[in-house]
Amino acid sequence: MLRLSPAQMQTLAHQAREHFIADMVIHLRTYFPAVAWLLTADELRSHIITCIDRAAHYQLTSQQQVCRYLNVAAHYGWNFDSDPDLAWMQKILTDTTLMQPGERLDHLVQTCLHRQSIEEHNLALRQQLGLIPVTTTVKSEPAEDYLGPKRPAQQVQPTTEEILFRINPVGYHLSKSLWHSAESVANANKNAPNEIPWVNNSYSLLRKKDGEHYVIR
Amino acid sequence: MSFAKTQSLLATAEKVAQKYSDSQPVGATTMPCPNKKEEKEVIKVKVVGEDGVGLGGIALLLSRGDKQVLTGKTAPDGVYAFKGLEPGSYQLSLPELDMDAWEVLETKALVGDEGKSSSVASWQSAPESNVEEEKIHVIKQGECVGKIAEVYGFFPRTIWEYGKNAELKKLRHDNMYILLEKDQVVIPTKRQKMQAIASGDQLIVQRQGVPEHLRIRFLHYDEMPRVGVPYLLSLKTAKGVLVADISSETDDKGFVDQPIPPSAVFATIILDPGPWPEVHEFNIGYTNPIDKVSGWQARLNNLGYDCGKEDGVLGPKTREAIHAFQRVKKLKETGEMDEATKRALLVLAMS
Repeated sequence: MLRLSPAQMQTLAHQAREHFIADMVIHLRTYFPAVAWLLTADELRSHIITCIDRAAHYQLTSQQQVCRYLNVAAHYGWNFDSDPDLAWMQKILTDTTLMQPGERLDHLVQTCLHRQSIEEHNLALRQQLGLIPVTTTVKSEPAEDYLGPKRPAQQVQPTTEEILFRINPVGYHLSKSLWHSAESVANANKNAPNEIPWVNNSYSLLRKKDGEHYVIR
Repeated sequence: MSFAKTQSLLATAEKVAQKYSDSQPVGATTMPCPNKKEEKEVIKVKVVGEDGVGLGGIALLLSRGDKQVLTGKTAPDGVYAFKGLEPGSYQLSLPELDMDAWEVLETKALVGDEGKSSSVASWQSAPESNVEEEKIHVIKQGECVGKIAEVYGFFPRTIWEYGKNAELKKLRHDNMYILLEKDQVVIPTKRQKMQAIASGDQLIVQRQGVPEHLRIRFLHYDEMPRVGVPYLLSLKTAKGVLVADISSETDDKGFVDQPIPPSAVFATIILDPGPWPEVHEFNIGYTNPIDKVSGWQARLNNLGYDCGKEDGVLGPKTREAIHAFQRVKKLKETGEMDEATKRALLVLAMS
């Protein structure tokens, strides 16, 4: 019989947790690109770890439950459960009329999706009646346009008409590090005018709001 | 009203999350032994309003013979399923609603897998019955019996017809939708009822008195109805619940007539939505009774006779508006709200 010491079990548990966190990094970057790609890997990991703990506070511990909790957090804000503007969400997560923690999570997600359906319905109706302009969309571009290689500005064209994501009117907060990186790229271009410019298409999307906060417009 | 399911990122991510284990905790090194799954039964309850639309957030209580209970709350589509039940008969109640506030519309058998479940129900001891005693509700501006009936879990007529409210009923001309701030409404003791239900069945329950109706009539300057005018109605509720906008046309008498949640406090009606929209905003339930100056002012303002602020003061502007109204209606121009003027105003304002 193979016997595992507590230390070995601890290492295995750590490995399993790390593996799940790595999975969640990929999951969030795939399904919430507008949020996840604006964070550094460390920032994203840190949010995931915090959310695993927050989910455990609501007795949501299974992989599926934590993944669903992360989905909600990525959509509504990493601290959605302590945001006074989203008090209805915490009310659902702590409502003991629903006896199982998983039922509360189901109810929360169903309510979120229902609200989204209503928001989409109201938006579509107003667009159809000509009360508001059609939705602003951001078209997808190859990842390297955002992340790195040097190319002349005229070569940078959107390569597909597929809509990647819709701008959330509330505004996504950008990470400070990304802002600084965009700033430094712009400054570097200014200082070395003869060099091939380092193109960073994300820069045009960044707008300084005030102090430490940055939003997409 | 039902909507197309959202195709949002959250909806997509929610589907993908189903591939992760619902039994394996994050960071666990061992898998739980798969239990031999015993098939249990389900009871599904759907709560709808009088318009047949599902109502979310309605508390349910299922009890069995040994005083053990299960509790639940309906999802936004009005449905809740009690899972993991032994075959047998149970009693259902809606603990936050008075017995006259709900009735069973239909019972039908669940078909196929809908009626089966492998989960286990977590029965718990019944809470001590907490009978809510009779209480007095002091009306705030904008409240009517329809609104407070939803809050306290009553059918509006049950409150209005309650013996201790007889005096108020007489004072307000039997109009439970037009009350004055600081009016006192007696809320009766809540009465419970139980409904027997068998496992494997679905029960459709109707909440009485929900939704309420909003009726606003649009007239031309010559008081002819504005017929067939397209409009967009959007609502705000006291509870911050999102309400779907409604797009339609005024009916053959110029009415916007739509079901609304009782908790709606503010309505915006955009007539002729498009490049030249006409926006009208209403504080729902803010109109005071006709025997108060503020009540005259609200009605005259709505009819286009400008009284200025609805402050309850009979100033020169209000008198001027009364004069104008009497002139148009060919009444004796006194500038006073006499009985004839009041009657004419009530007929035109309709409440």
